[in-house]
Amino acid sequence: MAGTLTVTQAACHIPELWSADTRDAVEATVVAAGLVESEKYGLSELKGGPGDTQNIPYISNPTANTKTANTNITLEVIGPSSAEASQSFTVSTHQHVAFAVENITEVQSKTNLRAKYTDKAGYALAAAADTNLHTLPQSFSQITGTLGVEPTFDNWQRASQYLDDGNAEEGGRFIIVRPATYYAMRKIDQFVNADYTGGGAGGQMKVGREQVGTIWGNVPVYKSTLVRAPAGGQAENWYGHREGVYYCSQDLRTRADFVIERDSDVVLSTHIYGFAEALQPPITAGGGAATDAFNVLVRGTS
Amino acid sequence: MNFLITPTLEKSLVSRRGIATVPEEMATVSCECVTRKPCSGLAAFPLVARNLELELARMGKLMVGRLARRGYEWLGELKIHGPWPSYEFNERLADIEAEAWKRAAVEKDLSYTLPFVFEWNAASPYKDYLLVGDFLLQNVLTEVIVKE
Repeated sequence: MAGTLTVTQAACHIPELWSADTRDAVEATVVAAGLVESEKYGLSELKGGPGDTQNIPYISNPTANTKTANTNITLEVIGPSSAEASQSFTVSTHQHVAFAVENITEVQSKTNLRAKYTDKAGYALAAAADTNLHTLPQSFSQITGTLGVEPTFDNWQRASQYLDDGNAEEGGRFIIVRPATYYAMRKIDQFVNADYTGGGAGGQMKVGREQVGTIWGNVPVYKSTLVRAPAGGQAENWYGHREGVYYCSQDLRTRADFVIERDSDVVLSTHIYGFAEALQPPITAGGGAATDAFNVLVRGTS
Repeated sequence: MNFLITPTLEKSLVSRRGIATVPEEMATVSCECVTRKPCSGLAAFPLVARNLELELARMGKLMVGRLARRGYEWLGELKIHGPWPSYEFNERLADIEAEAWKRAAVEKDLSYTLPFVFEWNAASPYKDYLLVGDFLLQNVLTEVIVKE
């Protein structure tokens, strides 16, 4: 929370202020990156470095065996083929925004001027991170709907059932859609008509931005133009669960460099992060191949 | 009558980083940073890298002279690190006054800002060296928002 504005005689270069301002702008702007898993499974340990890879082990369910009298228990090695596998998550995306600055000392010493650069860098880097996350749905194996066609109530029901079948918890689910798909949802009686929504089982579609409603009583719906549109009129919307995607913002730095040939001070913001679809081991006793059970691609309109 | 009392400001020791871009074929000498080891900069250039040495010397001189006009008093040493894939700032600097920022704000559509974001291009025909030096600079009064 911002507090008092003070004026202090300080060293002319305070890069940590720039970096903190940019991080605040990014965190306040992202939609998808704010909804997916970024803390558990050791992801928080990658923040700030060192290291760029986290191996996230799958934990399969053991088999329940019947104990026979007068025989020893056979110990079970958990996991498929008696070897618990893991998913390797790597931080490997480096993105930058750079501005030329007329008078770096003046910009650094004035909060308002500095914010002009750090906020804009933050907006662009946040948009780029969300855009990268929205490239994941095209690879989801669970798919409903048709590209270029408004998703129907049945499509949304099927998507929800996919998550149920995959044992994704009710809490933590979310939907991110392109605006055209959002307005298609507003045409679905079960989401907007009080006859359906009164009991909370249907949905509420408000007019607004970012979180614009809920369906099934508690699944938030977000609207974003950053959802991938593979072609004109098409959208790859995303119905997922928090633990269906890993995201780690490892480092976000803003610093001032001097570009010698251009005789120019440059403010350079760099965002280092990683993102990947999270695979879930099956609930089947004894384990099995991990799948992307916590995500559904809902094809629709753009 | 109101008096405005301003403190006498001292000078601060600041470190400035200058970026020198050279063609990839010239960037034949590397410091330890590139292999992620502790590094105090390039110590010496082999004779075959004479062109690089001369170019970086020229850039260093330019950097010191150009920063001097901005009030930076050089303390006599520049350390050279690199090379890394070039940021290619000549092509990638964003305009803070560009129309796209306004459109993104008015329409609340951040996709307009995406062209300003770039990634390092490993296939770039250029490499960047970093020239790092210590300077003395007159302090200024800096606004600081104290966060609670």
